[in-house]
Amino acid sequence: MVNTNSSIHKTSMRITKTASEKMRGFGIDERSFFVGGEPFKVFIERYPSSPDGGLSVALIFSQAENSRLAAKELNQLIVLHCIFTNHQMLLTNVTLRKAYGALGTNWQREEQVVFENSREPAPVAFINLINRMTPAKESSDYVKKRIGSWEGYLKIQERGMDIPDIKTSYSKLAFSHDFSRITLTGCGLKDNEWKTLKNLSVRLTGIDGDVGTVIKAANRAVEIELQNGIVKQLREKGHSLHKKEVVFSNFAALSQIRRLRQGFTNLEKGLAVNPNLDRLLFEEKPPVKPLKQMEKLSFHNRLNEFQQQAVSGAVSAEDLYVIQGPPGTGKTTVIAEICLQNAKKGLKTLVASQSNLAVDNALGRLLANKDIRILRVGRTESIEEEGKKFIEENVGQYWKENTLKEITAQYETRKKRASELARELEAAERAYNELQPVYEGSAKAVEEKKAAQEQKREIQSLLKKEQNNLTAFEFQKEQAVRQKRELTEKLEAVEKLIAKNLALLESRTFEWFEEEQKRVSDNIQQLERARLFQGLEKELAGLKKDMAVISGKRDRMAAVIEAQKAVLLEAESVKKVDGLMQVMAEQKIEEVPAITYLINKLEANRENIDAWGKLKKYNELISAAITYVEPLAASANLSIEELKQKASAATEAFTSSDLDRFLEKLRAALKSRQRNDPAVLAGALTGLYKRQNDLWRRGAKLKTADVYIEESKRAFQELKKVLCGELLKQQQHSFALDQKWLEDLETKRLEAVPLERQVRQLSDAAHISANIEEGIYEEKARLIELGKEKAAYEQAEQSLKELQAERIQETDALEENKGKLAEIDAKKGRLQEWIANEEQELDALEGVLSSSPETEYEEAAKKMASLSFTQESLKQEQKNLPLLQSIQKKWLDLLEGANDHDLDEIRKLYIKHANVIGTTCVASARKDFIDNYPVFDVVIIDEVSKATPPELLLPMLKGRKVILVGDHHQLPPLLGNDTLEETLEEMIKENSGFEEKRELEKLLEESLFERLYKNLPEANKTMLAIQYRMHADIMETISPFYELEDKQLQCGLPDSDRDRDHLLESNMVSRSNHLMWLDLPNEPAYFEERMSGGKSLYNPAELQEISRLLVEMNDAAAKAKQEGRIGADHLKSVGVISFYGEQVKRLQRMIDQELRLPHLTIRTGTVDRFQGSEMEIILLSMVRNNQNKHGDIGFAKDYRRLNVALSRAKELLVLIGSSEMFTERAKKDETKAMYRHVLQVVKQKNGLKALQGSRG
Amino acid sequence: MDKLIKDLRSDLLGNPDVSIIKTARWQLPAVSYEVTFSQVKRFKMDILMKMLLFAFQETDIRRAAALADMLLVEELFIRDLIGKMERTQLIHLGNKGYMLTPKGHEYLGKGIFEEDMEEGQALVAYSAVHDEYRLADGNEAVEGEGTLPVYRYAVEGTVDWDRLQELLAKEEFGSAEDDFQTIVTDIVGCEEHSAQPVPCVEFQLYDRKQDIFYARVWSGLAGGWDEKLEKQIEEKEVVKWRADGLKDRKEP
Repeated sequence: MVNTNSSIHKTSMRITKTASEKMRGFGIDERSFFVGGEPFKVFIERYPSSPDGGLSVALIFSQAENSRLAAKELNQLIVLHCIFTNHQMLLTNVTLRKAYGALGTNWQREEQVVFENSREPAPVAFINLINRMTPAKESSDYVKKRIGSWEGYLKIQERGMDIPDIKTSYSKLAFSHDFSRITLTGCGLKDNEWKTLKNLSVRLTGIDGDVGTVIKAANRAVEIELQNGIVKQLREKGHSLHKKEVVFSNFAALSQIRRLRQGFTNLEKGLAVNPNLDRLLFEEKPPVKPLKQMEKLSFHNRLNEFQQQAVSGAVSAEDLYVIQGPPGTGKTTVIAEICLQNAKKGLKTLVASQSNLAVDNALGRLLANKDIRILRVGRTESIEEEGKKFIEENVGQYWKENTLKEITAQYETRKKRASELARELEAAERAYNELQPVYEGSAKAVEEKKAAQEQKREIQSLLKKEQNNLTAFEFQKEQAVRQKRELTEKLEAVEKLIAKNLALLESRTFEWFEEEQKRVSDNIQQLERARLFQGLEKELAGLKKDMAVISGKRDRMAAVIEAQKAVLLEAESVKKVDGLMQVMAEQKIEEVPAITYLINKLEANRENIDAWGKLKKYNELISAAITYVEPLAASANLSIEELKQKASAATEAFTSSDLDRFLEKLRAALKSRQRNDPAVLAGALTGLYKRQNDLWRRGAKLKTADVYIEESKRAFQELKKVLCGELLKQQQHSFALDQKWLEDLETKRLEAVPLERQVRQLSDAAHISANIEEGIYEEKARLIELGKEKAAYEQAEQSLKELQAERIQETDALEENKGKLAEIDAKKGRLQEWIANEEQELDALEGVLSSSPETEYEEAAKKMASLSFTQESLKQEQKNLPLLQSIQKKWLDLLEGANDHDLDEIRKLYIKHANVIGTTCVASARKDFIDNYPVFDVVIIDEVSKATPPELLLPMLKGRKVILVGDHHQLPPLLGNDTLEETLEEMIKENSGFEEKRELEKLLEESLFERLYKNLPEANKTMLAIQYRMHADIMETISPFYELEDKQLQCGLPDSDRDRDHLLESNMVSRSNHLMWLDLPNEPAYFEERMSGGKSLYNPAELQEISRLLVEMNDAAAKAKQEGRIGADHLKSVGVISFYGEQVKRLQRMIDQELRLPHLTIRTGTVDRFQGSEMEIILLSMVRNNQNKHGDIGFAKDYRRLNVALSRAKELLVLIGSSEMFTERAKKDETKAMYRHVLQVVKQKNGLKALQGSRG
Repeated sequence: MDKLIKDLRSDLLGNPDVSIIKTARWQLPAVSYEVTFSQVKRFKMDILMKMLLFAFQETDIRRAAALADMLLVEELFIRDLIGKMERTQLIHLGNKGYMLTPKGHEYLGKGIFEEDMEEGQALVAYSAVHDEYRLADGNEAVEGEGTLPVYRYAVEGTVDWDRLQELLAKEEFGSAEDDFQTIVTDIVGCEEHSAQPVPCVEFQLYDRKQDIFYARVWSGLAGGWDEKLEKQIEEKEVVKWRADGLKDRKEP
């Protein structure tokens, strides 16, 4: 619980006067701190830093140190209050603290300290250590702040608690019909006391212990619900109590709340066994430590993958592990396995739960195992049968029974063992002897095999050698054969050549070759002459054709020259430029520079004449205007001269369009009224002068028109002259060409003369005309061929002699080769024969070799060894058996005869070494429990979601590791007898001034379990996803509730139909039905009703239907028994449940009073009370059925309640109620969707039944 | 008896909603047996310790684990006990293993020794309907009303000697000294003493408010309301009572 450190701190300490005085007051000797010797065991608690950052600290001495410090006995702890100034530790004050609960909190450090009386600074390590600590107050403030949010739970329970015990007399005590309640009347209570009675516990004088709790105090009567354990006493004594006196007390409830509060305080003080518990509980992301290396566990229960994962995870987790267990998924098995694994590791486990039933269930599932010692702690009367054997007074007996069982089993087995042993020993010996020859035989076989192996090796090496030889022979033979083939071929070739040569020599003579050569040469000569003749003739024809062409050209040229003469004459007479231009174009005369110059000059003159004309015209217009305007200006008193001067001051250029525009404007102005306006006139006149000046300036640059005309005439004459010159040049060029062609003609005629002569000489060859070239080629080839043939002929004579010599040589070689081949064949044959023999021998060896006597030999040897070992151990056992047997017999006798006295020691040992302790959450905070079991290695809390956080905190405080098991998709905690909604409703109705209603509701919505499960890392949690309770059809209805989890709920039954066969057949229910909805109409005849003056609802129509259904099932069970499907003694277990308490009450009454159902065993209860239970058949009476506007379905809208209701049945679930009400009329969409899914599954499984027949 | 019935009636009618439909008196057959048993006086001594002493005397054992295997007892227990016996000097660790000291031998001898005592006798009452044995004081007030009818669901039972011994084993007979206990070792004889029928009063009741029929049976055996008998009657008859009740209400 405390951070401890083994090192020793040595520090100086100075003491203030105040401190000295305080010490004197307490009788503490100041010097005793500095005496030396053993270091002091001190708990250091840091205070919050002062505003200036100063470090201050409390040093709390454990009580064991008191004797060293004070002369007189102090019952309290000495606390030194110190501050650090200038690195020195200064003791400023000394106080005493109560011993209980002050030491060893998580906010303290336990250290060994030695004090020195000096002015030395305190060691840096010591100061740093304190500096690193979180001030105790901050830690506890952290917890206080967060735990404040849980206050609401306590507030609910604390309502009206602060009342003293009320003792009063009563006049009458009446029991309810079933002894579950008593009613007291005639109580002498004050008026104001009546209101406070509810929920108080009740004691009756004359009865031991609390009898029960007040559930109703009204109309001068007190109704008390009795505790189970008390009924027997009351039956016997209730009617004869002498003193009619009752005490109402809230002591039990108060002490429970006190414990819960103490839990808060302990957490604040840092008294949790796990120093991180506060952070694990309150931080958004619980700061869990990483898991230990997962070890491979061997499990003692049969676990599915998820269960294995949960157990491994829970065992490996360091601080917190959460298991989400939907209905029927084997949570209890997992808890049992974890307990067993812990026990095997020597760890102590606390199994806690909100309810006694859950604790007992969990313990009941633990295997009876030598390593596991279970102890159930709690009030005996509230412990269920399952847990009873584990209570302190019974564990001796429990232990005895288990040990007796095991010893008996061993003893009985061993009894038969003596004879068995002898038999086994004999068998072993016999087996050994029988094995001996086998062993020897196989040993010999092994030897033989070895020899054979050796022989084989030898033969194989010889064979290898001879086979090499054989290969060599074969190679030789191959060579010889090849040689033979070559020789034969060669000989054949030689024969062929000889024959060819002979034939050649016979076919021709030498003279024949001479004649033939001459004849061919003559032919060639004649052909070549013919070829020359033809060539010459062709050349001559070409020449004649050329000459004709040239004559033609000359004729055309003569015409051209004539034409040119005519043009020249024409040009002389042309008068106009255009005419000249036309001649130039027609005669294609090149425009030489002289011509271009003259044409340009003519053009320029013409333009100048035009310009002069234009200027003259504008000058006339302007002058006329000036003449017109000047008198006007003069009459307007304008100075003409000034204007003229002004106009000549600047020279401006004007285009003709400008002039036109100006004159137009002026005309317009003069026609208008402005004509007399001096400004206009001045402007006009100035404009006119300016323009006149410009015209004159431009006119001065031009000559007169006559001058230009004269110039043009001169230029024209000159142009004509140049042109005629050009034409003459053309004419001369033509003459030159003609002359040249005449000369060409002459040259050609001279060339033709020798050719004609040659042609005449060759005229004898003229008759040969076809294929001259080809003929020459063929004849030449023939000539070459002849040459070759002749050479061959001469060669053949020579070769023939050589070939004949060769033929004799080859024939000899062939003969030699034949002899060699025969020799090789003979040798090879002998070798092959030898090899075949050896191989045969090898085959013979193979028989021996293929056998494997080694394995047989080894097996035999092994068997012999094991047999001899068996013999030895059997002999040992035989020797020990009587002793063991006698000791166990003694032990058996002792155990059998043991009574409680004899077991006392065992009982004490058992309790001392108990390693699985079960109790309820609240009981785990009882004083005696804390004293006996302050710390657990592991705390497992079951049904976590049913407990409130303050309840959970109590066992959590005690564990190094905490394992939470629950299901936040099932119902949240009950407060007292009521659901949270009921409690809240009541609180609102009471209007008890409780204002934090909203805050409370929020509190109730958040589940600690859900938050932890969602926020923990994957490694620290598991969902058990395989359920074994429900038929798969039933499971389908609750699947959506787990849809958002990582894993989907699966059915672990191998065959639902077989494993969850309810075996009943009736009108309505068939064997294949596992999920049904008996649908009632949403009509007034079937509506819910409210108790007059009560709050709870019931539904008479549903009661009626359930009655009918139960009878039907009872009959079906009877029939099933008759037909042998169900054992005669078996009672079908049926749970009849409802969302409403009043309906449950009426159901129970109906079953008790109106029905005889001997084949069923029926339990009734609210859905909330049924959480954790299972039955073969469940009938769910849904009660709500109305046509109210709001479509209120009350408690039934909570999906967790529906989940619980649907998941209780193993074989058959029947819903009885109006489907329309729940799937159509319900207010919220999600509620409707939830019930629609159920309805849809029901329909799918053919389970929807309308009401049979109508009700009268 | 009449006074008792009157008291009981007034108790039941204390609840104004309840009316008594029928009152009946009958007797429950019960038998008392004179049981003779043998008993011994024995030194109070824990069996495990006795067993350890015995084992150490018989054979050589050094390790607690060896004994744990032999006796199938947790090693922890054995180690604890060995420690305790060493401290009280009943045993010491010798060369071969644990040995008994002279004190140990003496102690074991005492533990084994049983002193036969005179046979004891007890009167046991047995009700077959309840299947229950209990010691009877012998002076049960049997009123001379042997004319009462027998309980309508009575059954016959036979004596189960084992259960008799179980009952007697729980009781302490004779005055045992501090360190000694007396133990019933065997049932020697069992003589049917007398049939002692137990008078009972049966009320058949109806609670108007809750519309519930139920039974109350006062039994002389326990001197109080007897749940077993009530449940038996209710289970078999309530539905019929209701039917009759309805008929009665319809007929007039």
